[in-house]
Amino acid sequence: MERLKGIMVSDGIAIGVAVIVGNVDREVPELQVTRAHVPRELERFDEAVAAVAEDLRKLKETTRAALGDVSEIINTYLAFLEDEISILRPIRRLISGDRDEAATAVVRHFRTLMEELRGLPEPLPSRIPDLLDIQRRLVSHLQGVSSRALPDKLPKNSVIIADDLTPTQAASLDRQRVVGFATVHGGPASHTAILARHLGIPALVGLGSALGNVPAGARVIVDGFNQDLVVQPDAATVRNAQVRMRRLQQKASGEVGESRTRDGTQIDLHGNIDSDLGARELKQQGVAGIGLHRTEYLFLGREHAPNEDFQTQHYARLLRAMGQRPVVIRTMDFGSDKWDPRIQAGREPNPALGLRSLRLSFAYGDIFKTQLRAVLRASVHGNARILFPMVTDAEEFLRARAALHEAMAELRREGLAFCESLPVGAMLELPVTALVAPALFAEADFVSIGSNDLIQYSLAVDRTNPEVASLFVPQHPGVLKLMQLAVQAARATGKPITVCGEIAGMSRFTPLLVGLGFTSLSMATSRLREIAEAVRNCHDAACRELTEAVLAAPGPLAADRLLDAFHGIRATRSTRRG
Amino acid sequence: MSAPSARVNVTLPNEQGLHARPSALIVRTANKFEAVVTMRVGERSADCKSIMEVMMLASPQGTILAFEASGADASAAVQALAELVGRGFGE
Repeated sequence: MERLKGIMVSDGIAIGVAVIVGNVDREVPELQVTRAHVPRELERFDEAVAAVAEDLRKLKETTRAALGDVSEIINTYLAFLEDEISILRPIRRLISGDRDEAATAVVRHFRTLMEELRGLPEPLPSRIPDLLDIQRRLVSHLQGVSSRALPDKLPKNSVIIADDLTPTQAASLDRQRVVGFATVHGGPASHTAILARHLGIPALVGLGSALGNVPAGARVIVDGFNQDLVVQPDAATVRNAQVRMRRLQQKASGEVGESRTRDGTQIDLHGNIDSDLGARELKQQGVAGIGLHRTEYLFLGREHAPNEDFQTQHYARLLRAMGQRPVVIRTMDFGSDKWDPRIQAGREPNPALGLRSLRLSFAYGDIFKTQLRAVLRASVHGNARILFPMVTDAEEFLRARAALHEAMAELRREGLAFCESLPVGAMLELPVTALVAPALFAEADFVSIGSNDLIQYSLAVDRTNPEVASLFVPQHPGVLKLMQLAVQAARATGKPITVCGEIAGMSRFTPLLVGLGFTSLSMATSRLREIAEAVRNCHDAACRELTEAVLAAPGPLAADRLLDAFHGIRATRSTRRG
Repeated sequence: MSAPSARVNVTLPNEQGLHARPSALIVRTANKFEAVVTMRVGERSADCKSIMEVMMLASPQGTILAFEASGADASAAVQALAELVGRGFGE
């Protein structure tokens, strides 16, 4: 039994069979053939091209709207595979002239092509991964390995283990058979993460190269709560996971129940949601609304951003499903993993500090405006709110709101209806934003705290980096101080504030959030019942005392001890009360 | 290639320039015709039936693309390409 530490990007627990999806470059030895074998190599090459093209065409047919339209990407791949002049003929020349073995010729020629692309201006070098993908498919075929990199038929309860899934791989998965994901790389906005959240199955990313040692077919547990992947677990570990899975299933369904503290303070609980799946169930569970609808899923697997009508229909469906309950739609928030290979610069030396989130939306104003128009047009179908991600300060918020007003003016000119009084909010994710929160609150209708990024940027810790992941500590007194500033600014203006990072869904921290004065939390839907129960256990005064003590603690270790002690005391108290 | 029997100039409207997707569309359109179709950008040119050649010209927004064709359906080919580029490849 072995445990690999990862980062949970979609929660839950799954027990399954490891299916290794190889993205790793296969070593291709440079081989020559005798003159007599040249015709056979030429034939093998042509067969490989035809077979790869056929695979791609099949993929295009079997992949339908559900997972985003990958057909544009596939069409481009096919055009490469049909390029006689620059691709097919030069490779055939290497086979007949240099007597290269077919796979050798493919690798040699693609290397030249990629070198040439590398020298050209963006976005052309961004296509290099596509060429690599085509090369891989051809070489796999020539070497007699499944060219799809994914097995034809997945076993039941597959746990997909990969470097990171490509959009075409994500699109071609048999989703009935996948119960979990584990990847070497990737962050919360990677294709794997978005797909997993969409499907509602657990995923761990950032497991590091040790993941490469997991044997195919091994029994594994994807444990989103402990944030680890257990390889070949012993019987006791499996039993323990089964028990927790059952408890989770019970918790995930049924009414969330009251979320009032023992002193009667109402804490509104909202769900975070990636797609429109499950919205109806959420409403039945009795949540206050959707506190965070991440829209990145809509962009997944597309070469181009989805058009306005498509987006409008999607948002409208979600709004209608929630009736009059508020639905906070966050505009696209792409991080270092961007959906569009042209935008995916990949060359940013420091993507966390680079062109991401709202900055990216400003840089791609057309795509941003399309989304704003779609949200506006959908807003007549329910109780919509719009939320801008990672807003630095009031000025940046005004710039984003100006883009929204521009979209509104356009719609008015075109005679299209939208909700004029649509509330507009800002996501507070940077330490500096907390320091200038009063000015931001003067402009924004509401603020949501994105705790994951707030912690990352406060502590300078990338939680997907295993070397420093243990330093990612939500209970750090400095982080809490920033959250306190934000909640104080909210109170001064009487405007709503919600916590919607992972901290909101971790019951260990619920007393701290209540103690800080938050009355609205938004979390993964599977955590709602657990947090409601945690809220019902809270004494307002005890929570405030705890919070003051933690704020005064010298560091995260002392803060952690205070939390331990608090939960210990609370446990005995509730036992005593029966 | 023999002297082109049809020729048309069109300005590239796409913000992103002639990247992979529009290049693939040019190839797909050109492949519908028998004619030999060339795309000329200044001194350089590309065979419109080769996505790599078309892409490698790395044409930014505003580039004037000169389509030239020779063969039976030459004028229909350049017209179809000019139309495709003219409406911005549906972007």
